[in-house]
Amino acid sequence: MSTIDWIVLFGTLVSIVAYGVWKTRGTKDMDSYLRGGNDTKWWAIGLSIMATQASAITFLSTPGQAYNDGMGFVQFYFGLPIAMIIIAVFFLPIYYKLKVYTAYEYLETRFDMKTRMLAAFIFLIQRGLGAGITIYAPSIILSSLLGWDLKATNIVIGVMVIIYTVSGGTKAVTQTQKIQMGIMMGGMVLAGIFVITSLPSSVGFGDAMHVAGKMGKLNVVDFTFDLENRYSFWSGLTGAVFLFMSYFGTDQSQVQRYLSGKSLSESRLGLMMNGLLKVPMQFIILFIGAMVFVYYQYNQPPVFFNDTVTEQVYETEYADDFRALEGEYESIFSNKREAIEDLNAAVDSGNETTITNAKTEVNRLQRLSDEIRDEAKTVIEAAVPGAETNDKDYVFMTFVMNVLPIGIVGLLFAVIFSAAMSSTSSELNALGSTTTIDFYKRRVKQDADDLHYLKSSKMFTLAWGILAIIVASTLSLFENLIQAVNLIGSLFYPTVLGIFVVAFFFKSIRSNAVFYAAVISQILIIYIHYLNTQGTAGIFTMGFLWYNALGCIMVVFFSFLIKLIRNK
Amino acid sequence: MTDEIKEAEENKPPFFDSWSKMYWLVMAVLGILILLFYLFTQYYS
Repeated sequence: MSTIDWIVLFGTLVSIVAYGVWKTRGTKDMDSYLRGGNDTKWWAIGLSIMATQASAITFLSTPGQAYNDGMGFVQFYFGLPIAMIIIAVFFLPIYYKLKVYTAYEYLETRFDMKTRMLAAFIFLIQRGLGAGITIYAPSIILSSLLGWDLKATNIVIGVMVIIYTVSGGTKAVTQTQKIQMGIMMGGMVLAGIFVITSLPSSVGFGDAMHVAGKMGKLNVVDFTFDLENRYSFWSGLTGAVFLFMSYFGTDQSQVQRYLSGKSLSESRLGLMMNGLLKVPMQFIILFIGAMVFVYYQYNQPPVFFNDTVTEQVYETEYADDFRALEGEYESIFSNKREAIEDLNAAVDSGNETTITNAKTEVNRLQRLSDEIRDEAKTVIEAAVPGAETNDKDYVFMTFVMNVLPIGIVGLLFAVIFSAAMSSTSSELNALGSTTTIDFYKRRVKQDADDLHYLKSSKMFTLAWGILAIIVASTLSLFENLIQAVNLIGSLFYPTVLGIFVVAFFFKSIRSNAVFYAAVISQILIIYIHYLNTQGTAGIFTMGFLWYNALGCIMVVFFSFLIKLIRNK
Repeated sequence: MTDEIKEAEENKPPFFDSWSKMYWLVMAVLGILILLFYLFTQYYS
């Protein structure tokens, strides 16, 4: 990166931290620290909710997902607006009525302390792990691209977040997220403009769309019903609704965002804003990935997008094999580029037979390209044992570093760091709040003054921040980072959602029934996932997004079953 | 419907005279987006 890029990157990040600390100086009571003084406007709530969900993984993995598999991932978000409405109607009024700091406080009012503790404990485990991944995910990629030490990158991201989150609490998180969302949106719009203007002058926007479409990258909607298909219209409207209800309705990192609202109406509007904007936002990010794919149909892409690993292969005895594959890949690229020119000409001619023939030829060459990439990954596995062979997450930033102009590169890196900071700050804020309110204040020290709890909240937030950095420094790379986060959520959220669903909709169920039902369901979900990883799940063979629906239904079912048995 | 939910529904949102109309707007936008995505997929595939 150039000096200007470094200035843009560090100037942006230091400004965010300084702004967060300055804007929230003098926070002296627990209510301001944990609920932001309840003066947040709807648009700020909406931005905060969106910034919390939009982690660095969103901007690193999503374009790569479109590059490899097309835009079908957007279907995963179809359930989000539905979940927003359910939360606005059923969850929010109760949280507001009880004036809770955390979602789990409600469970003690409705059931008992042990159910509240169970839900809060599950949250702390999964969000504690999640916070580690939220730091680690961008660090592994940014450290590789920037040539930084991985642990140092973890520490840089973690420490910057800790500074303003510990200092200003919820208000600092919300204030900085407004700026961070502005940077993220502005950066991605610029990236979108540059990717389109970077195409050869002979290739118009319409041609680019046809190339992406004919090569299967613009397949947004898939109505095929298949339980094993992770991202389809049906999984988006069913399994994902449960996941989003759990995440936005019961995960404190999100609940805390809208509980800081000035009124119930402001919080509801914030949720509706998210419901309206999230699907188009994901579409745009995926579309940028599809356009990066088109760019690399006219410009030679590397056979493997992680340069650091490629350099390591060059140092081994497999270097010649790898270089041979690179040569073959370049040769297929030249042929494919010619075939794409033919495809564009065929589309212009409007002759369906010519279009079909050209499309068949392009896709045949694309399959050959993909085979070479697979072979290159096999060579990498042999040459650098333990190296990550999934390079999806490197596609977008490789394009940014190699193609975008000076200044914009720094801005795009600032986008990734901002996203990492925005989601991590919400997580640490929520982890600190839940530890203080649901455990420390409830079980350890019940009669201290406000200042004591304020200091405790800051200490717990700091402790969770340090733990997140330690977790991030000990993780190893998952197949795909965005899936790692969704998997952890899908394993733990359904149980918590099930408890809340029983609490809201099945008034006859009492505490012991729901508590034991939740414990049984949590064990079963983990066991079903284990069977799925072994390929022996039988009728429970399914993509992990379906765990959200299954787990929630199991909690309701076992609650009724236990109630029935106890009544006999 | 609990008292909390009934009470909450009585607060009117901006631009609409009830929250249910706001929810219908969100659902209508989702429906339109899915339809546009379907047409987009069909046209370019």
